Amino acid sequence: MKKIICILFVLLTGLMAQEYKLGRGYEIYSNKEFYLYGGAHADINYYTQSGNNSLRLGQAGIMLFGEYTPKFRFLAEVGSDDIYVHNFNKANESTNLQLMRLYGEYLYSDAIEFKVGQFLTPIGIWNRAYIPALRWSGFTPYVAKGFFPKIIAGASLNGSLNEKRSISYSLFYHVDGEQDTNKNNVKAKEFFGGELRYNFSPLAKIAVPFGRFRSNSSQEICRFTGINTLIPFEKNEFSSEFLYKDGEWTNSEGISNNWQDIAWYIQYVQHIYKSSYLSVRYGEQRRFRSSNDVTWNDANEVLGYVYRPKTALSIKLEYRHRARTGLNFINTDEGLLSFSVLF
Amino acid sequence: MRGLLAFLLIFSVTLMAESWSVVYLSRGVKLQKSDIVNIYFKKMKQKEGQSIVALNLDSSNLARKAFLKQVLHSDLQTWDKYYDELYFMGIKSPVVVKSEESMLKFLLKIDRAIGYLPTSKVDKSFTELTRFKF
Repeated sequence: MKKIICILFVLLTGLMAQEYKLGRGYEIYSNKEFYLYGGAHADINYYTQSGNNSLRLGQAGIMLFGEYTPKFRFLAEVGSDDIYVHNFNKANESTNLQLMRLYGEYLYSDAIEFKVGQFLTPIGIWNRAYIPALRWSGFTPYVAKGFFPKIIAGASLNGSLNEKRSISYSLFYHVDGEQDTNKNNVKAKEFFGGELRYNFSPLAKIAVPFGRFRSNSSQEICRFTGINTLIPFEKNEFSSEFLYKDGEWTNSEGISNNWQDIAWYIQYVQHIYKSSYLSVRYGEQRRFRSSNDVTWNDANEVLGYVYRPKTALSIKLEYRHRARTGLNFINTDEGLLSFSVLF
Repeated sequence: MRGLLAFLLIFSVTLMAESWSVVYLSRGVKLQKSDIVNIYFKKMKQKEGQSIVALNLDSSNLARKAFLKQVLHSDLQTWDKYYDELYFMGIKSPVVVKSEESMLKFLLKIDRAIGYLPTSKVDKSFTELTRFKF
């Protein structure tokens, strides 16, 4: 028994002795060729809309990641999007934890990085800024909601195409099959696509994503493309995404129909004082039928105050106004107070 | 008169600023000045098929801040945000060493390592890519 206590004491003091920086994970093991880190992230928020209030333990996860020589990397994450939702006006909801990401990467060269497993679809800005603490808003824009599956299970190739590393690409293929897709926003098969980027600097980019998939539920064939840009400065940041998608489906009588979706947003963030920022976003989603009549037009404006004393920790107070014209008229005001952190 | 004094003060501070060099110990890999930003932001992980190891001083170190601003054209806030995002893709930021002495030891010990040192401490065994001051 004494031995066990001694071992635990040595282990704990060893762990306590290591340097820890918020947002950078915890070093579990490290030597010259191999490192293993553990990390976690969580988001707690209070949401209100027309008298419907809820307190959520939102997106959260526990991660393990490591690298063996610079050639091999892996990452595993268990988590969920809305772990527990306490509704003040109706029944509470909860979601089981699930495997969110599990992948391995092999770096052949800077031009060819091969990734296999379950991972974030490597396109867009919002979709790749996965951790709520690192986002400027708790309200997800339309482009990241239903345009393409945010997680894929398959393989991807990523890399730089020139010596200056200013042009980079991602190509991916989502393997067909009955994966656990509860965590996914769009259930799809035969999904493939990619993104071509021009990097003005390591942080600023303009990119063209594209893809095609077949929807699991409706058997629609969807194709999408667009453009996105991210331009950060020392005191402010500008980002925007635009996506165009068209879908084609055949009804039981064999008649083919099609529709088009357009979604976009522009977001601007301004540093105002010490750790305080102001964020403004405007976004829209429009759906057209084959006759090109607008079926509906959904628009929203988000205004937020972000307190970010460290990049890994943020408190956001936001207001969103949403208006839908055309089919199913909506006019709502929403509020969100969120606390997000990554460890 | 005040303007002249201010000019003299700024001029003397500039003269007192220490010169630092971004260096690597050339062992078969040839790096260029334009590679520095890509290496520190992990856009360039290999050169001529060989892995490059970037070294950094602690974030509280003034030389690190000057290096970040003058050589990488960035700032701590942007740097932290960039690497917080990469961390949760399983990618670590460059290795942090505690002091100039540790930096020197690491540079001499690790093949294909790149770092920065006071120019006065740089001898002929190193290849200098650029200089900065603080």
